Amino acid sequence: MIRRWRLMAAAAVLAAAMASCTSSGDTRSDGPFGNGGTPGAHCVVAQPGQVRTDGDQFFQNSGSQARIRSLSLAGDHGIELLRSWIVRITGNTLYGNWAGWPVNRPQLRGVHWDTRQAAVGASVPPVSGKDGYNIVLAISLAPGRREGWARGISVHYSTGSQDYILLTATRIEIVTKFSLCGSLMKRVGI
Amino acid sequence: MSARSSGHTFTEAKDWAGGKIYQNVTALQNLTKCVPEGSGPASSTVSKGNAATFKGGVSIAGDIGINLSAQTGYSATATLFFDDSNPNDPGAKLCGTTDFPGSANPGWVQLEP
Repeated sequence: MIRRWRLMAAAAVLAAAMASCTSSGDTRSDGPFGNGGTPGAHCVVAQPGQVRTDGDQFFQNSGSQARIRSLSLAGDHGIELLRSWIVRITGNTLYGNWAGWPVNRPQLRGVHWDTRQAAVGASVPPVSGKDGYNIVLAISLAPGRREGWARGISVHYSTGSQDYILLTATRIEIVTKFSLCGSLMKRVGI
Repeated sequence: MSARSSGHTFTEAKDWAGGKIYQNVTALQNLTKCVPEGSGPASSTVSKGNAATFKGGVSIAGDIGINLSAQTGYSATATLFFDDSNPNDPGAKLCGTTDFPGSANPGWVQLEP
């Protein structure tokens, strides 16, 4: 009798595990954060270890309350993601691309740096109109590298029980000399 | 491909017969959605958009606006090379007329020194 109960318990655990796998395996790319924009590339100059702020990616949430489960660089080579934030945008300007770590820049009207959240775990309410969210990254070229790049930013998020992925379409590129931007863009493509 | 001073933009149209043009910027109207590009020696930047169509194939000689959303005319990939290395400059901005550069429908895109 005890053996039979053990078998039933094991079967229940297995069924729960399979249900969990089914849910997490159904990640869709057509979620309320959009499709990642128009393919492009952005290349900046920095030396290995120097921090750059990358803040040119914008998305809106056209659905319900969402939560970001993970954020990473996609298809990255020789580039390091140090930290990432989600910043609320209510104007016509994004945080943008700068040398160094991100700081509060009050001259950027509509960039609500004070509302920033760590990207992983960020709670993202729906927005209306032209408001939205800016993905702000602190990145650097890996030690010993002359160039580094990423295909885009991969954002896994969920609303309710549905999982989604947002892959931004702008390549991120860092080189040690400006003259390397052109050749890297040709090799990496868009 | 050397660095460019603030206020000038070098535009290269890939697979486009017009070749390369380097000139002063004539401001476009209604540039509403902007991405600051910072300043200083590390801010040299290249931005590249897909499906670029230069207005009539010749208007690029009049201004360097690039329509990234139109699908008619000369379809090409365009690259803007710029270097705003003046530490006293507040920094250039890359702007679109209808949405942020890199969005699905940025409209005309131009670098604002």
